Amino acid sequence: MMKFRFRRQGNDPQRERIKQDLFAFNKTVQHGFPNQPSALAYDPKLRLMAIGTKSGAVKVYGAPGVEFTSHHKETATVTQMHFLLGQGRLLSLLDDNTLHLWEINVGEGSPGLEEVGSFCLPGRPGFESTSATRVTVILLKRSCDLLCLGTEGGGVHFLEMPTLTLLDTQALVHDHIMQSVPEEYKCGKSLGPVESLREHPRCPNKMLIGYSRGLVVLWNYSSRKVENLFLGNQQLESLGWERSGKTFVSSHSDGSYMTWPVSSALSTQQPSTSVIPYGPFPCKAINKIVWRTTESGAPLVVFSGGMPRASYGDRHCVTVLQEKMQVTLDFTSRVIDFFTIHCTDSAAEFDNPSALVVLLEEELVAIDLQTVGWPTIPCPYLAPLHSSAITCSYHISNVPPKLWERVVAAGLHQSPPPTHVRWPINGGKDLALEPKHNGLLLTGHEDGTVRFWDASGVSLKPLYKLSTANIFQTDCDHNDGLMQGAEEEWPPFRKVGCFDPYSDDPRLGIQKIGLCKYSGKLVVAGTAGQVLVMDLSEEMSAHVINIATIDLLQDREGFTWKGHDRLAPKTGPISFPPGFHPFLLVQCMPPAAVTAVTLHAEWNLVAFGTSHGFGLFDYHRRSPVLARCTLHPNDSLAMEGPLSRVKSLKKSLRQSFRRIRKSRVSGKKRVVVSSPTSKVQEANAQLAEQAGPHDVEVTPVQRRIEPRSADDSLSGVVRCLCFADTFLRDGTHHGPTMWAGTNSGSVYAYALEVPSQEKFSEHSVEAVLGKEIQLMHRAPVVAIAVLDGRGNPLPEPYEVSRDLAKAPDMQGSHSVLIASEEQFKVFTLPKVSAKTKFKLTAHEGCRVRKVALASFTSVSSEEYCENGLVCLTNLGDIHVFSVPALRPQVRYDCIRKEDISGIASCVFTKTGQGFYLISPSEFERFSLSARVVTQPLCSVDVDRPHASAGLRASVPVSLQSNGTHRVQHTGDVQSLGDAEANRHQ
Amino acid sequence: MPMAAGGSGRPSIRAGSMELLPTEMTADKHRVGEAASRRCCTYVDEAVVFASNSLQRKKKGLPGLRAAQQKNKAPLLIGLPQDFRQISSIIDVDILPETHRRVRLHKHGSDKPLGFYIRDGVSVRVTPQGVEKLPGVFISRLVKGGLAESTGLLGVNDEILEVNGIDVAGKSLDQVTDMMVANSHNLIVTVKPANQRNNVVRGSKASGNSSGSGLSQDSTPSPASQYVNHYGNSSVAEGDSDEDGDLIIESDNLPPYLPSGFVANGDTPSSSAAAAAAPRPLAQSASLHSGSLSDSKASLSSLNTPTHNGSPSRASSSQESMREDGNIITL
Repeated sequence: MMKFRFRRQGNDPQRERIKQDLFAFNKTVQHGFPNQPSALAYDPKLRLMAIGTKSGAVKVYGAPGVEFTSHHKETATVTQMHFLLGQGRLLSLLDDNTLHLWEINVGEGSPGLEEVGSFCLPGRPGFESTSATRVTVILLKRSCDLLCLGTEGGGVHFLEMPTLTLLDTQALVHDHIMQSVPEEYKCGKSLGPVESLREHPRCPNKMLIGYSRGLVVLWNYSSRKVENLFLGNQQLESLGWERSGKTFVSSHSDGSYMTWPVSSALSTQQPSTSVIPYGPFPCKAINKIVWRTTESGAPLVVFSGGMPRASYGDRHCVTVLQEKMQVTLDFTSRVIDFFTIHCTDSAAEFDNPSALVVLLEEELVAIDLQTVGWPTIPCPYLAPLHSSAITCSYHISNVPPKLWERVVAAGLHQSPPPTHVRWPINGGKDLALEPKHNGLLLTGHEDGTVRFWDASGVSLKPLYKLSTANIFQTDCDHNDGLMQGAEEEWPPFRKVGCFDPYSDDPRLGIQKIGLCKYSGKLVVAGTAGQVLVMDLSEEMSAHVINIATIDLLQDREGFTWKGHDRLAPKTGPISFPPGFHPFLLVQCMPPAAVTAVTLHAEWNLVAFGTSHGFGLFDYHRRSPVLARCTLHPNDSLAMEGPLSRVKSLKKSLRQSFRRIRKSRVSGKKRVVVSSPTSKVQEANAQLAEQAGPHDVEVTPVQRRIEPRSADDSLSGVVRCLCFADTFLRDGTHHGPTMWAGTNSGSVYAYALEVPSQEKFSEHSVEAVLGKEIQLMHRAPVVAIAVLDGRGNPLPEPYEVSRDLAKAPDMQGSHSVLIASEEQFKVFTLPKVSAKTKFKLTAHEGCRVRKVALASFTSVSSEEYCENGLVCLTNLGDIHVFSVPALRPQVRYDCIRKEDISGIASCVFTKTGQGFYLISPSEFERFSLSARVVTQPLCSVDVDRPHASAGLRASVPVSLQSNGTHRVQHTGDVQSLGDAEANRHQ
Repeated sequence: MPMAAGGSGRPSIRAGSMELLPTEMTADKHRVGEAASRRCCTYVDEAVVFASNSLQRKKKGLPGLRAAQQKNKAPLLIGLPQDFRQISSIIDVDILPETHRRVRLHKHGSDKPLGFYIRDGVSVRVTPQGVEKLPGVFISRLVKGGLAESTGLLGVNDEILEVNGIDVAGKSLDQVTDMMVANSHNLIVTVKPANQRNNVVRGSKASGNSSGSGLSQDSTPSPASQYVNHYGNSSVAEGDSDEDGDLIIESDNLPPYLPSGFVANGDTPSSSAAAAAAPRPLAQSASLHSGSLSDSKASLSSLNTPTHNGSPSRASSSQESMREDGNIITL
């Protein structure tokens, strides 16, 4: 057969060259909020912030677009991080007690974060146990030449920086301090671990050493003498200097903080003040406290924790306190760490803090301390994508400027930006050029919102948030008022942050999104069979939404839906702010989750499918056109719905909350846990080998080999829908068609009678079943696309009529590409006969999860462009096939095959990029195209007095944060001669 | 269930070089022991449920088989040839090592399960470097009454080496499962039987027979290893490439809103997919249409059954409409 001859073409050198120009796989940038952050650092000189995570990732952020990501070789929690001020170097401590030195690679125009050295404090045999040398606290001196490590055993060790050489003789051991401590204070007990180390703000030789038991020592490093003793008797949590060095503040486990004067006397018994801010009842520990002087007089005190144990012990709070002003910032997730941005110039008299940055487990919050009322500053990056769980995502490439402006305007109306406050962390320079094309990423969420993100560049910026909950009656509507009333005056709580994982009603969840980028028509479909058609409007409006119900069961008998009810829409006019206004609500009956949706704005049609069937609706005339049941008679599961065994909705809600939380937890653990399990499997395999084949059978993992039968459950699920102007009935007349594919390998093609624009109000749209195709292998149909006479995908609605795309070839015969989970097939039209096919599963044993048509432009010539069928399989690898010949082009490993939610969340762009979730809160962006690559390109001016040429050779570069692929650096950018990050064609 | 051995199936079987054909005889349960050659009798031992396993050593292609059966027919009261249905065959005996066995399972679009389970295991191989232990995939269990068991050609602990010509080395259990399911309508598995005593001893007659056989020419001598290249040519797998003819129903001019089931009339001969089962490597383009016609009929009939169960009234009405408006197009 012809096909065989073509397949052997693989080694044609010319074709290989073209492929290299077209395809290249890169994981380019991560969008969103790092999963499970565990450490925070800030460099006031370079104005860079670093976040470390539990999986060992290190991320450095500066001005928007300036970001560096890397990963420790060990998958261990980053417990502390410190910048070597101004040097572009970062020190990290992992929970395996190793120190790592990172360097921002500024040379050669290739930005990156490299590990240049590591250190592990050696245990002392016979003297201290290993836990005694466990580093509890790090002090990096401002001069950056000395590193002090406080340990569990109470010792302080000194390292020369940046070489990480241990100054063995300098170590300060417990006993040395004990000599100066008065007898009555000793009580025969040890001082406990070193809890805090603080360098004196004025005298670099002096430092405060705080021990867990409460003793604080002012130690002179050069004379190696104890200068002062502060005999605290509360368990110590943290220490903080006042700028002048005349007083310092200590925080304690009982929720108190104390200020201590530094006097000439050797030992101080009592603090000058001692306050329990949320007393008198028992309070939780104040974990960290900072004391900042201000020009206006009263010092600003910021501390985390300290809440009354009984009443608010479960709150995650940071308190900001200045004289009479006090705000208790009440967050929805755990406080990891915080810092203030203030004047660090030693010549200045005051700290004058300008902003407070709080890192929480699920988001980053910045507070403007200069504006009255301490408002929050919106973050330009680190957006909490998962503020409600992401249920679906949708990408629109090449958004026309008109729609872009309207969406941006709608977003600005929602949250007007503070005029005078700039984002305070603005180090480094973003060298990437403005992206030539705007990309819009839409995420659907569990709470019924759709968020619009600017995905054009390196930082994913929120543009607009659309809520669909307000058009339905939900249980939780009236609760809001009560909640606020019940809040007490004290403590002065203020809700901050947007992370809110609790959904009002799981039925509101968004399942599918479709957007026409030329008309601004949006269709959003949800879990309870609701399909909302919306229009973009600049005006406020209050109107009644048209509501229609479509029975997708038709007159099938013997089925009863036992799942959730449909959502009850609100009656009467509903007011909408400028933005997307729903004008039509179609509710599918039974109200099963919508599984496919598509929109054709030129024909005013929306098509939607559930597990029971599909429907077609004319939203201009507000009339149903078609409803078709796809249920198989044997399929009983589809009828009962997902919540069939649950008696009440309330119970079901509770359960789904639990489910969400559970899935969230498991989602988080996924990253960390999976590698040990694979290790376990490896070990098992080895054991099995040693034991011989007989022992393997003890725990057999079996797979049954059964062909798919027609009565598989959920065979009627509509998996994909598509509109096309093509030849369905005969080879001479083309016209509107609609295609639907189901889980059982059935494809339905309808010929549509769409009246011309002028007659739209007179005639109604009609749909006539033209073809039915039953794929022999019965695999679920994942996607359908119609190709024109030249084998190119048909353009989108309006693209031809507005001269935005080449008109499709209507002379040559069209063909339809049907992608099932197992095979890709191209059929001729109108007489449906198979032209080409590729049996992926039969050959590779993998199943198709996601497919998309993308156009790949060559790096060497902007003129040369090829269409490709991009396919993600259940093994997490990505294949690209030529269209329409369906010849395999390239294959890359992308996602780990165990990462099911990553695979399920993947979306492709039209230009060969893609996104998938690497955690509930982070999208990994990757590129399959050699030309279109969106990756950070930035520079940081660093000042490195201590050259580290000797250091560099020791550690191999590790520049990846997730997955298996090293980010390829901009070497190819330079070969192109332009330093342009967004190389859109 | 009607057991019509499709007429179109016969020539294609002839294309196979030499085949050992366990045949399931369901019409009457008489033994065809005489027909079985001496060296094939071992298979009778393995057969569990079907007492009537008939093992034919085919030398001259199927007409010969037919003749042999007819010869035996009178004294033993064996059913007509059309009452026999091929359920499996051993193929490529002349090109495989004697320790390996390539088995084709014919499903005929029936609902009978293929009926076996596979598991991961460790395979011991002798390599130039010495004995090596490699991960392998093995048959772990046969389903009682399933197709695999009834053939007697596959046994528990047999190592699976290839699926439809694709080497399974390096593939996970799930991948192999998916490959088998995707090829289930015409599954060809190459196994290394755990029980090596019943292997076909390659006689001089058998190897002489391979000349002139399209299949053996198409296949290359060493079974595995050559398919390492995923996208490479894989002869056996492609032999069936036109086989999965999809069912296409054109139903123009139907009024909207009428859900028209794709039910064809009941006269369509069912289970005639024997044609589908055999590779036609040489005559592919020529026999493409006629061959696949019967395929799609087969798939049509299998599709048919449940639809009838569900809504008999509707089925008859749409049968009418089918006759009027629809025409079945096959690939």
